[in-house]
Amino acid sequence: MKAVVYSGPREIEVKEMPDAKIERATDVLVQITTTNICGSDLHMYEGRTAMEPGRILGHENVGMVVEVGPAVDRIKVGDRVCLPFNIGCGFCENCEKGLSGFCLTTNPGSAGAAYGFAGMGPYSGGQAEYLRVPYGDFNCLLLPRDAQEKENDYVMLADIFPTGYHATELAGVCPGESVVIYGAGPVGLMAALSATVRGASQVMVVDTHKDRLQLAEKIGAIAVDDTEGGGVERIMELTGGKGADRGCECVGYQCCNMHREEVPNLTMNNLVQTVKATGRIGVVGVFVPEDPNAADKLEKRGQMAFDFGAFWFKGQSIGTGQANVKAYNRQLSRMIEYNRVKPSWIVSHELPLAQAPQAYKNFDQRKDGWTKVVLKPDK
Amino acid sequence: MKEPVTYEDAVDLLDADHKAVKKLFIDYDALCEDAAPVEQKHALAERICQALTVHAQIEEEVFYPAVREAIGDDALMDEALEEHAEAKAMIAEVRSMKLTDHAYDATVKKLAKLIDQHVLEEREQIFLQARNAPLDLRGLTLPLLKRKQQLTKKIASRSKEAT
Repeated sequence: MKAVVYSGPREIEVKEMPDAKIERATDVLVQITTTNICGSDLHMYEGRTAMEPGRILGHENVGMVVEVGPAVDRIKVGDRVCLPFNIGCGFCENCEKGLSGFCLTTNPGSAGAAYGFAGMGPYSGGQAEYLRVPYGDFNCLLLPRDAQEKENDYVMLADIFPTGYHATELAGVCPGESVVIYGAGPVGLMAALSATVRGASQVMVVDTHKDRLQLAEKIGAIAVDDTEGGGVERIMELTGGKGADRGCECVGYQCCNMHREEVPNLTMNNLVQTVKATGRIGVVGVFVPEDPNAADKLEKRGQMAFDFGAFWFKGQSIGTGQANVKAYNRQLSRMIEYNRVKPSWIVSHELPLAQAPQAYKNFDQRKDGWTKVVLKPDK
Repeated sequence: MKEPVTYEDAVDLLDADHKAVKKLFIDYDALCEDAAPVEQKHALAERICQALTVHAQIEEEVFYPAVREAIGDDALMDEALEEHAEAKAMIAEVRSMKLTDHAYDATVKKLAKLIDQHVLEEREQIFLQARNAPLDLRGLTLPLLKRKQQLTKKIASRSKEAT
């Protein structure tokens, strides 16, 4: 089968790989129809993870079931399914509690497994023609009947829509509250959409990329352009000097200042400053326990100079970690089915698999207009 | 009163070692960057070497033979043993070096890389297969723990004698 393979820092190849197949009785084999490039794929692309060359990338996958293992009951051949990026077993202590992003059995030793991701188990990614899905009955989200027609919407349920929603959940967004979101990338935009459907009164999105800020404005968010600095002042102005009720971090460890230099503590400290006293902060941007290739000394050891004094003084609280996709994907799929949301509004490019290398390059450079790439392996 | 065994199974116990040593290696890097005194670095390196030695020994004595029998993948288990041998040779090298040797830090870091790679393979191949195999991983916890405590005690009394 054809697949997008990581060959080393900033090197992506589309090449022939052994076909994915059923390996255990509980597996499901899916023919991928849409697979996205995620911002977190870029951490690997840039060589900022322990990703081994030769592995297939891709954890935002939708497709059609073509084979099921003998121990699969619920999922049938021909089903259109969306695969949460986290691979859960469904029976460990964390999965039982709905914390499938921290499954204890699918990636022994480390909490949480995913497709085609550094340090998250031996599972191949779905930027390929076929994908092996472990514990198919547990992991597959069976899509509503308009699955094909709204495929570009439903594929967002694999990761970024639930992840954006998780940011607002961690931050505890309630109706009528104000929310400041750092990052207008796909996850930040999904957090803005989620905050909006949760009834926030003011949704402020901070970034330096004008094309992305425009997308935030399209769903009624307030764009805060931090290109010239002054983002913090603008938020304080918009919230009467108090700061927002809630804050979301949707950037992660490679966050950059307005000069495109990495400043790992930038968004976290800006959040402490622009969220009100007693407010809550949700962090879904990726941060890592060590980052040997970083320039910053603290960042190398997975640390940052965090304004803990101000954080404590303001009585703020924080929620962190990757989204447990299964905790939200079913409800969010209903919102798509009933036309309450259209997460595909962020899609900028729809390309065949063969064009993945170019797409990675453009997306990585944050080229104007490259917000979200969806790949179509069957085209 | 007898203390309950807190580890869920053998994999949990062994991987707790991996996590602990990983943190020590990150700390070692930090000491290098901060130009910490050699004694401090040496003490940490010795702690790492001790932890790895005990860990490798209990794996080889208790865990690997049981897993080998259950999964029947000799090539995989032989490879793991080879990696252990390589790590042990490198630990011996670190221990034989003078603290002031310019290559000391580099050797510790080389060891860190080797262990990283071994842990990754062990997690993704051996642990995963062991968990899916008909093997009493819970039952193995106690012998692993007992042997670990025994070996740790032995090392502690030996270093007491030395001082």
